[in-house]
Amino acid sequence: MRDYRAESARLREICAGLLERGAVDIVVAWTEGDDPPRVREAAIDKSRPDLVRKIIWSPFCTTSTVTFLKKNKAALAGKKVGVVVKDCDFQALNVLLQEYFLKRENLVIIGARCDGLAEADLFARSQGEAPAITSDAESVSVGNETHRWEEFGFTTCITCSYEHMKPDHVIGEYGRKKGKPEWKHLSRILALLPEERREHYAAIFESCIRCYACREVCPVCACVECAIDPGERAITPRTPPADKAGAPVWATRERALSENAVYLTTRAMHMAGRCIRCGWCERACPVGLPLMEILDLSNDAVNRIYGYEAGRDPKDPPFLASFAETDPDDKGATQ
Amino acid sequence: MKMEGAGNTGNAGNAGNAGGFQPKIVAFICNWCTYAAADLAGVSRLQMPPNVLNIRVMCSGRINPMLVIRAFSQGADGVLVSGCHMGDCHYISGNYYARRRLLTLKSILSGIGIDPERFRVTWISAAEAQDYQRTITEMVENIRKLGPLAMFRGGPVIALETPGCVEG
Repeated sequence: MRDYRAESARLREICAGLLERGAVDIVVAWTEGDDPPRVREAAIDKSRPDLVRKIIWSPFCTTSTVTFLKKNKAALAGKKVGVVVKDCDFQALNVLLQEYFLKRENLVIIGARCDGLAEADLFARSQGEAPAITSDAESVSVGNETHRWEEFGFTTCITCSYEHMKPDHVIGEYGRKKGKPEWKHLSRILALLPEERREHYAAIFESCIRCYACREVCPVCACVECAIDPGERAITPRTPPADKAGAPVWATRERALSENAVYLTTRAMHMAGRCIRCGWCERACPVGLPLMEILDLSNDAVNRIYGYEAGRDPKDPPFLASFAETDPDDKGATQ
Repeated sequence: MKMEGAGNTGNAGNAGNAGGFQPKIVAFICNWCTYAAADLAGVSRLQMPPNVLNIRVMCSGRINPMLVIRAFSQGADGVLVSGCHMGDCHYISGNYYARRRLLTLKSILSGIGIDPERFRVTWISAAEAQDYQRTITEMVENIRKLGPLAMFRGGPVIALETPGCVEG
């Protein structure tokens, strides 16, 4: 049985200590939301002890603090940042460290051992005092209300097998046996004939509205400029015509099957060796597309053919920027 | 990027057999080996179908997987990437990088149901003109049987319907 009140208290203690000692300038953590058990992320510095008191850790800390770091990279530059991560965030952090997007010496990592995430929507919103949150191997409870892990629809958590977290500080103990990486839905798709698969994926591609929510919410999708949607490129009156014309257009903004297919396959390719299978793209998709079914095609290849696991260790070389002479020539590349 | 036809491969897509389906194939070939092989094939007057657009690049490691995807979306029915044999790269290791990237791309493409025959990665040295001829001939014949590639084609997705306009 895990008591998240006690674990949160321990987390607050660590964060307050770090801020007080000056070991970090800012702590990025989850804080109690306005309607518990919901939470929200916050960057907290010394001047906000009230926010430090609201720091929380529970299965409802679904959002990624690493996405927060990614989004606020400019604001956090040059600062020493303490960041509270759960297992999947730690993996994402490793990917960003592998690619020198973040510097390890600027980070103090506080790891919260995670048993899985839970949907706050399933529980009644509480008013006033925050209720006690507990969990065990089977279920999560808030106050008197209990739901089983399987009810939450966070399938990626059920199959999460990551337990190599090596943070600077750690809170909590695993209360649930970690699963095995599963590719059930993928093997179901790969059992189909190529034409059926084509239809299946064309239907996904066709429904995409290209809002790029999957890219925005992804903790490891951290290119300064996206090749598919170079919205960050500043075109000013002084931009030379050659620069404007020279920018490659990989996919137009047209909402067409062809352009959507280019976007989503490119994304799958780009995510090879980066995707930590947190499932956030799927959850963020306003159309509800099963995006993991596309990403898992590359994840499966990376895992099965090359034995590479994304974000396992910050010292691993990035998958696409490295090679081994023993890489197979064509084995298993076709499905 | 420099585009040119190598050897006697002629202009892609303008082949004879009017009426029948003529596959378009884009071949990204390495300057140091496969390009020379294609050249040798031409000089040796090896016969092969003229459906291939050869694009000479300085190394197979230069091939961004997006180039392959873009070729498909721009109308290619098949894409060939061909470079030096492992260990023979002019730039020491370019083809090793290419192998990892392109075979990962191949799993994705074959996963979404695109026939593996449409995207081939081969290693052909400057002396292997016959290998080049065989690869091209096989690809054209196989893709001719498969027909045009529809996945990356097609106009805009059907416009969204305005809600609240249901009849009756």
